[in-house]
Amino acid sequence: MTSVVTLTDVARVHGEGEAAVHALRGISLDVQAGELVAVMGPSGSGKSTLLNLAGGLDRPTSGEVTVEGVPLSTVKDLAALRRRSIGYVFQDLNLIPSLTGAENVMLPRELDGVRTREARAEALAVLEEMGLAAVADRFPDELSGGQRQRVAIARSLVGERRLILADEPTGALDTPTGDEILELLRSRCEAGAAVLLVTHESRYAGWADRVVFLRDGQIVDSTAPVVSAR
Amino acid sequence: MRALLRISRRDALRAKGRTALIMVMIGLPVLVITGVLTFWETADVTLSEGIVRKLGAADLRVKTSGYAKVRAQYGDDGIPPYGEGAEPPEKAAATTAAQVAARLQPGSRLIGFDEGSVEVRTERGYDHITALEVDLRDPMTRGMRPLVEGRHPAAPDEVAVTPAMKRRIGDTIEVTREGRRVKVVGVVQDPFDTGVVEVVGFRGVLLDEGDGRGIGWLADTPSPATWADTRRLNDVGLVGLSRVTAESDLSAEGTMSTRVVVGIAVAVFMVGMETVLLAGPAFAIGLRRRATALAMIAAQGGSKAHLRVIVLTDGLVLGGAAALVAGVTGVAGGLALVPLLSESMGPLEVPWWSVAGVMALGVGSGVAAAMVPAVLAGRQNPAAVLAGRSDAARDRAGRPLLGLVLVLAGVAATVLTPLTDEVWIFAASVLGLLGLVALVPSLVALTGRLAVRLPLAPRLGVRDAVRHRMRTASAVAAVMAATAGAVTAGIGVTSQDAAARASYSSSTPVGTLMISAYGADDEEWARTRQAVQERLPGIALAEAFEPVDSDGRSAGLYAERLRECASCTHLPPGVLVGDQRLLEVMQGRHDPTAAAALAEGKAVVFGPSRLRDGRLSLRIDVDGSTAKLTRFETQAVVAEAASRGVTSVLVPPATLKAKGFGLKERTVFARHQPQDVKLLREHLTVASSKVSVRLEGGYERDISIVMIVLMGGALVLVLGGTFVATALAAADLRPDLATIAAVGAPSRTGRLILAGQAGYLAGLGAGRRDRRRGPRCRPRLGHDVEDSRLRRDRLAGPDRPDPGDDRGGAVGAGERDRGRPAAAGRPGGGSVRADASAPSHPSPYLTRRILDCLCGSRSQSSMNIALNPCRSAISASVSVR
Repeated sequence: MTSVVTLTDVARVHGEGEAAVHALRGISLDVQAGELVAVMGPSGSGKSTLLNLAGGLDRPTSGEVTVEGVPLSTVKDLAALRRRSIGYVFQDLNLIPSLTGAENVMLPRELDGVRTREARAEALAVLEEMGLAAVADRFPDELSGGQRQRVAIARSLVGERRLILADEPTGALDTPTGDEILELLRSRCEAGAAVLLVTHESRYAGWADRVVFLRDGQIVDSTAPVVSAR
Repeated sequence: MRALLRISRRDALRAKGRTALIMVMIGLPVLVITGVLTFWETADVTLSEGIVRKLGAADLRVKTSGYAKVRAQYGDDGIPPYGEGAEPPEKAAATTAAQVAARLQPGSRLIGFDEGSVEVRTERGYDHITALEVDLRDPMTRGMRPLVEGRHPAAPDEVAVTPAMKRRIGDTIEVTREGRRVKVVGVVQDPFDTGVVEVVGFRGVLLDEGDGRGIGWLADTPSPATWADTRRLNDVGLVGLSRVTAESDLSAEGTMSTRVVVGIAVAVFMVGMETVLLAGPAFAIGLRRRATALAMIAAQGGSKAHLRVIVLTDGLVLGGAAALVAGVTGVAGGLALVPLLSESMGPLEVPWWSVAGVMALGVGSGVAAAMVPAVLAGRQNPAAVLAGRSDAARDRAGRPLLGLVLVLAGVAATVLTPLTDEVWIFAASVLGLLGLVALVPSLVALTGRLAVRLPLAPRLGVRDAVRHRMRTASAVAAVMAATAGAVTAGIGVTSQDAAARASYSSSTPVGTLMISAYGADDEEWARTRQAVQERLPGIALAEAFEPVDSDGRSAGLYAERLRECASCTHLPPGVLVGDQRLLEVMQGRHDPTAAAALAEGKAVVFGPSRLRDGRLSLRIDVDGSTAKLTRFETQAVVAEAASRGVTSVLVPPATLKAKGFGLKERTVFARHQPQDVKLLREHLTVASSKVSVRLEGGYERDISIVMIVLMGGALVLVLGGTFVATALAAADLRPDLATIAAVGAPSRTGRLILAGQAGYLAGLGAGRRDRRRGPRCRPRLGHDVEDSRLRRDRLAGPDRPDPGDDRGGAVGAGERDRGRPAAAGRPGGGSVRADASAPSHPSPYLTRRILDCLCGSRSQSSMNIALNPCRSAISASVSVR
């Protein structure tokens, strides 16, 4: 097993002086390939901030984030890193409404300069692998919530990427659909991907190999799920 | 790029309302300009396009030039040689068909073809219309004047007329002064001009070719005519028009002066800037709606550059689509309108390069309008947006220093610009306008502070405008640009008008009628005098005389200028020769002093600039010959004319007699304003074709239409800019309006908030005070009056009769320049909380202010809410939400 993302003593402070807000304090976390780590905690505990730092959408005030062995502090073009190494899945609004399912999946590859035909072939391959070939040419508003999340997960995996950062991906879904999404994420892990999952619900955390509890920006516990969903 | 174009194209289709709005704003100017250009190009018939009406099916059209040799030929115009022969002789030797045939390819066939004008008797007098002498039955004339009705003339007493002449087949008309009666046997049509009034007959029927000019032939040559054929004709003073030479028509080739180039550049800039300022906020609001989508793209690896390009691509896609649709519509519309609005119509023609340039301006405007939103898109924090936090970048306070510098530079440039040149006034004002645009964000912030004293609705409206400073500044700047443009143009027009009015000068007082017949013989003048007396019974007439030399040739009489300046021209002032009666007409009263001076043989000068030591310098020349030029001085006095601006000189007849000149009466003046000057002229032309009738009407130029168009255009732009910005504000204000409704505000409050913002936008934009000087109406120095008059005269051509100008413009034919009063001076006839990261959900600040207002205690702080039952109740309801 190899580390896909590693956070070492990471802190993130918003603002300065008396107005400073400590979103994260001295977080250290390592997610291995094939591992699904769930992050839980109350609102404002820093879950999303943790995900943003892991994906390079935000930079830590101190500490270091390493993705695929590359320290992000040394990376100038974080956007390029996200296109090639990191996939994001959010609760909703995951897809660009004006692009079809396949075009949404193609997006990171096209942004990376891959020719349209090649990007489409890659996207269709991922969609087919995930059983979504039939919805490839539908627009997001023609898809169900579950289908949208599946397409988003497909997009997070297109190319050579094997790190999925999922922020409440089941938040807008009913329980059976949510289970399907977690099952899918689990299967991607079995295929070698690393998944960092932020969730409120312990039900879904049951799919994880490890659960990290955050409170006031600090990891207060890190354990295997009490009840495994697998 | 394909992915970005795809996103922009699909987003444009999803947000149809916004797309339509932006496309209209970008496309409208493109549509109008391309439409006008296409209309103009098609309605204008160049010599080459309309060659068939000159040549028919012939190969060559030959005509005499009046010169012994033609040095160069452009289109249908022959250029005389340098030096000797540059002036056409008074009477050229007749050129015969045989002489012409000798210069053509052997085996050529010739038929007569003459163009000119002829007088046609009407119920009231004579009309001057276009005449053509050619046998339309000849195959060489095929296509020249297609037959509409009847048949072609077959005898000398038969003619064909165009529909615009409104004569029917069978009518008999009288042509020429000889009263030649001819019968209308056919109706023919100019192939490119439905409005031309023309009569076509046989050679010798309609035109007077006695002076040897204007005679022409059509030639059918064995092989198509070339430049070589034309050169052979040029060598003997003939002009040879063929399809080849028609291509060299200089009049069809426009050369642009610096002034025109600057005018076009300023117009392009103003149209582009106005479009950018109006469409910019629409792109900005689109950016706000797509913030999450853009953040999502950023999360998937889209860089800042990608985000910027996406927004710029919006501009490219919408600008391109708008330009394409508007361009095509404009061209089609322009072509469709030509037959409806224009009598003249050439082949359907589209000025592709100009249309492409205007469409490029549309695309450029779209991209430019998306520029600022694109920069903001690049600055967007995806993490904040994805977390549901507003990430509207704090609007900048503009660049007040740069704005101030530009405004000052603009003011300085406008002050230094000649007041009467609108193009340079516009060019200079663009600098000031750019400065004001840079100053607008600061102005918005500054004026926003004044909102504290306003009632709730307008206060919220103004504060929302201030919070969204970029959107507001753009709309205010658009309104400002439109207003400033209209004001600047208005000042330019009124300044020019005021300056022209102030410097207007004339040879005779306002209300003076002048009837003359220069070039008429004694008998004609006697008839004319009698006709005048019959038509103007009881009207006192005062004669003016024309000096003649011992050989009876007319002499030109001029007053010498005393002051010399580089820009001055030397066009002659009006010098009249007449007695006491003419003096009274000029003064409108009896002035004993002036009368006594005139009786003593002194000249009377209306305008002091020509006197030196009480003496006036006069110059006489005969037939333009400098050899016979005579200068002499005479004593003179200064007198006041009946109206201001009269700058002529009255010389007593005795003075000229003493110099050995004879006098002949060819002009009469009267203090009389006939009801219909044109009618009077028509009546008098019965007596002489050389009659000219002019009524001095003073300065006449109506600028109200120009001002109405300017103000109407500005109003449309001010309202358009305000509506767009208010519609965008309404979209932005939706969450706040929901909060207001939730706390119990009546529905009108929301409308009042928007109305308040609209009023603020329009008020700030249109309330600009132009820093330009007011119109300067009074000339600085005495000679300015004459200088500007002279400039106008030079532009208009000195004393050139204008058949369409009956009041003040000379009416009539056959006038000669010399010896008659100069027709001087006739231009035209004569923007608290500046928190840009405010949340989209009900803001505590806003809620508190609403609570303060609704509970009627604006001065109390929110800390007192618990003490006030009203506030507590509303506060609780908000908390529940």
